[in-house]
Amino acid sequence: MATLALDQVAKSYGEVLAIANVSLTVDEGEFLVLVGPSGCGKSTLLRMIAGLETLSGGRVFLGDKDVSRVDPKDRDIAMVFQNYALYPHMTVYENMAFGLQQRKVPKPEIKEKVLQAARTLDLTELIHRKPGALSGGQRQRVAMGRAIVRNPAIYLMDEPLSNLDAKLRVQMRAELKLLRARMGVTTIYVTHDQVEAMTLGDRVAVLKPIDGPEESNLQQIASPQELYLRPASMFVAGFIGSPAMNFMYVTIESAGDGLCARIVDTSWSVALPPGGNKAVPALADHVGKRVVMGVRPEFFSLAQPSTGTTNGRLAVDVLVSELVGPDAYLHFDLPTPEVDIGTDLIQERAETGHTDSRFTARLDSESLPGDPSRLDLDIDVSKIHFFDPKTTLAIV
Amino acid sequence: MAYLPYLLVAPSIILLLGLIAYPLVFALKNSFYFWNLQTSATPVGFVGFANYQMVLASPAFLNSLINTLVLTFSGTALEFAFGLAIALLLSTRLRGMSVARALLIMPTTIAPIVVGFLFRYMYDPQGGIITWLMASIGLDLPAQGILGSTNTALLAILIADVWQWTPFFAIILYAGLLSVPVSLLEAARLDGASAWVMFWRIKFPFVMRTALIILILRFMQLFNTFDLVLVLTRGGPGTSSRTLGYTLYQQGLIDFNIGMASATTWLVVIIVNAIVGLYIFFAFRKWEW
Repeated sequence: MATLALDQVAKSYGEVLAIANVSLTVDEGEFLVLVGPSGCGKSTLLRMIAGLETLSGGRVFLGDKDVSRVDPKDRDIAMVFQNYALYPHMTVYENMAFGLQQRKVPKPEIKEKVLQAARTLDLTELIHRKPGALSGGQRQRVAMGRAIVRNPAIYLMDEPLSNLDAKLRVQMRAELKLLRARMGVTTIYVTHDQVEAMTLGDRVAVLKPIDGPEESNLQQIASPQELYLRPASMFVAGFIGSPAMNFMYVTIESAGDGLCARIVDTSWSVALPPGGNKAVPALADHVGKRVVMGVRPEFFSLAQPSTGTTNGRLAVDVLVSELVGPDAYLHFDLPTPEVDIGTDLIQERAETGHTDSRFTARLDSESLPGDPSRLDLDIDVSKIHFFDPKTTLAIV
Repeated sequence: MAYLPYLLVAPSIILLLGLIAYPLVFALKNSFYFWNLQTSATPVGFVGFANYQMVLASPAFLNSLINTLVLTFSGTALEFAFGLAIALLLSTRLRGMSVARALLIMPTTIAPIVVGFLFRYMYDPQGGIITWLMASIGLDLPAQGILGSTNTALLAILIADVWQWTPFFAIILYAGLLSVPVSLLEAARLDGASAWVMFWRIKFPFVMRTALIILILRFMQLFNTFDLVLVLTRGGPGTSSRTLGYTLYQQGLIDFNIGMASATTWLVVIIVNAIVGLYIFFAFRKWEW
């Protein structure tokens, strides 16, 4: 077991800069998940840690040792590949034993370790089969087994569950969690699936594609709960959480001893009394300015006529309602300019002449009225996030 | 409509029977008859196994069988070995490899008869470049020339064949090397495999999947080598470079002894099928993966 540290690592392919300014440390026994959309450099970063990609800048430390120029085989790491990369002409046993054979481990010891790992992973029956005769889940377990028998300092996993069907993926995710609890080895896990990231990681690093050498791919590295509750930037806020956070432009105004956020181009406003939202003190510097307000779909609720407060109440025309078991996702438009968080969808809507923005609310499906086409929604003021529209960073 | 599938494959089956089975059966029948075209346009009389006895008893047959086996096994092995070496070289990122790939296919596209003539000029005792090269590095060349000596005639045919067919192996094996998934090589790197282990335990098994088929194809082709022999040595001096293919030509098209030629044909069919059968039995046992 060991710690891992990245110090200002960078990777460019010719003119194209894929990774820049990434520094992070992984503690002993920690399970760190690298998550981000495709093209954010998460797999490249993992391959740089493995030594399969050379660094264009920065350093990689394993424990105290600078391994930046060390050959992959001497880094004491094991990797599970997305497509498993099992040797198709070798049996399950030979696949798992291969790494140990290369390290000149005595035969009886190899046998003991491989059989032990096979027992752990429930592969004993399959030990003489070839990968071609195994199911996806079994192959995945062999790939894990190949890593386990090596007993490396660090495990690297590159989207190991992405080739499995949805049901098996949930099952393997739970197994992975159990396995990890038992072994407690430092692990770096790459995924684009935020549910995997949130359920597996001790900490999650959110990465994003970069536009220039002054930027960093690393947006935030924190515990899953922290990412959800206190996203550092609009990118993280929009990436973590499903359905994604709603963003809208608001103008901050003074209102009595507190503030108020008025949704741009509309008459709706949300009062922000002191102590009503953690961002209020910081927002005082933004009075009269336009900022981005972020509301997670789950923090809308159906307005209760009995309660006196109507703060932040929105009357909306529901365009589409999707019932997903206990939840209902309601989509509605508001006549306010769209916030560009860098997704193609917005551009498409702008090109087709949309001047309003689409929002999503997640409600309890059982509380919905019979005809949910026109609803009054309340916003949980304490759960609203605010972001600087220029830097896209959270205002706290 | 239970017989529809049979109906659909029937044209291919009939064509196949006509093209393969008929000549074989025709030859089988003739091998039991005395039939020399110089004396009769039709088979003269049933002679049982006499043709086979005559073929097997003639020293020329045994000699050409040995020559054929030597040529076939060593030719296939050399072409595979050199081809693999070139394929490995092609798969490196050395400069000029794309040009080399394009040039390599050229020998294979030349008709064997042309290759024969090219090499005949190069082996020429007076001014042939191979003769000159050998002499200039101090090799002791036979006085009758490379093609004129019983010691070197078969070797000369082998060299010409290896020259022509090595690139074929190189290109196919190169394609086999390309079929190795990059992630497997990376996994092996992480597993700590040396360059040799990487080749022998990861790349080679992949290459062999392709190689198994071309090895047997090439083996069968080489077993019937005729054109190179005809142009380079005519099986000589004596019978020192005579192959079964040339023996057949001698029996059928020079001596016009159709009965004997048919018997030889069938012996070749039996020998080749025995070897190929054994090969398939052993080589393809571990094929599934």
